[in-house]
Amino acid sequence: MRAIGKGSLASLLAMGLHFTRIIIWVGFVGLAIAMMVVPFIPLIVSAVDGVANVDIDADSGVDAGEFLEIAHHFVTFGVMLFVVNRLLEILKTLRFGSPFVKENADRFRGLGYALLIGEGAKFAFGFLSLIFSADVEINSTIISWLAIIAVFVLSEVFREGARMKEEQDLTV
Amino acid sequence: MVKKTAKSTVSTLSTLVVATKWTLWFIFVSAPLTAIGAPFFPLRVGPSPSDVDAEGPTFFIGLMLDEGMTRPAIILEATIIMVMAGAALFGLHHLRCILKNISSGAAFARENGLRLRKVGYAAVAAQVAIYGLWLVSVILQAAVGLDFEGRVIVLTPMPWVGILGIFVLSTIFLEGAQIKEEQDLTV
Repeated sequence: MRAIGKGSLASLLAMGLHFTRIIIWVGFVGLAIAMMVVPFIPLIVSAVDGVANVDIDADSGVDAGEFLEIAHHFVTFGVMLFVVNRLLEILKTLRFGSPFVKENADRFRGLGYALLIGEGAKFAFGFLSLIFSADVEINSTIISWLAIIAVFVLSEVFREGARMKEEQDLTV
Repeated sequence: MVKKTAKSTVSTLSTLVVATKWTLWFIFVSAPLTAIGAPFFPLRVGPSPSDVDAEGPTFFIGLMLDEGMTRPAIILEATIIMVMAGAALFGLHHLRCILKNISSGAAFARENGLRLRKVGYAAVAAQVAIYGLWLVSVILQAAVGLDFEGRVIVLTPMPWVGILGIFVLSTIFLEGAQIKEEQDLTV
């Protein structure tokens, strides 16, 4: 089986990423709705409670820590969605054209920055969780940093490849 | 030529790779020692003969053990970690060689593509070995009644996504090498 081109490993990878994107989208939309609704839960509960035989006894209060946990997951899913979208765009060029285009170098760079923001957000939420006593794990590993730097290196490699390809096309 | 900023990124990555390599070496050496030594540790036996308190081995390989793991589970865990660490060390060795080539301006050397392909095959071998170990543990549990309580192998498709990515990257590097070779011949 070929690695790039139509019906290749790249297509298989793209299929897997399309599936992953659907799952991430569902999670992202759900978290976005939760972020908008959760602060108003006490208001909604007090409005509904006692109306038309509805009786709510459960604790409906949402503290800052719980909201922080939702916000943390929302940012994580946002970063994941961005990364998957960029990867799919890169894979599209691998399936239907040449991998060595300047856009791919820019996409890899964007991907690197997104991952950096994701790691930064982990620390920011970890710090905020200390203040609001939320259950947020920082969970930053050396592997994540290796991956981020490798993405930046790949971006430069692709830029070099794009330059080489342009020269070759001009020669032909 | 790869730019100066890219060179500094490459050297940062190389430093991180070396740090990871030493960590992995420690894990790679301590994992088989644990697998061999697990039956001889002075473990406190729990309520049933197969239950153990992981206090002893936790001291030895602190990162890998959870409380309440049985002896067979400890051996299985240590073997899996050894396989994964071995594959990762192999991958890091080749990654360092590729980084050296990139920083010396030879990003598109055929050698880089071939090295990445080797890393891909090593990752496939490690993944298959993990499935094999899982199968062996299932058979042993059914046939001999060995208790692997505390060790759950999670079979996810995610490693395969990474492996596919490595093979795709390897082909991109090989294609780049071909363009470079053609360019050098033209000049």
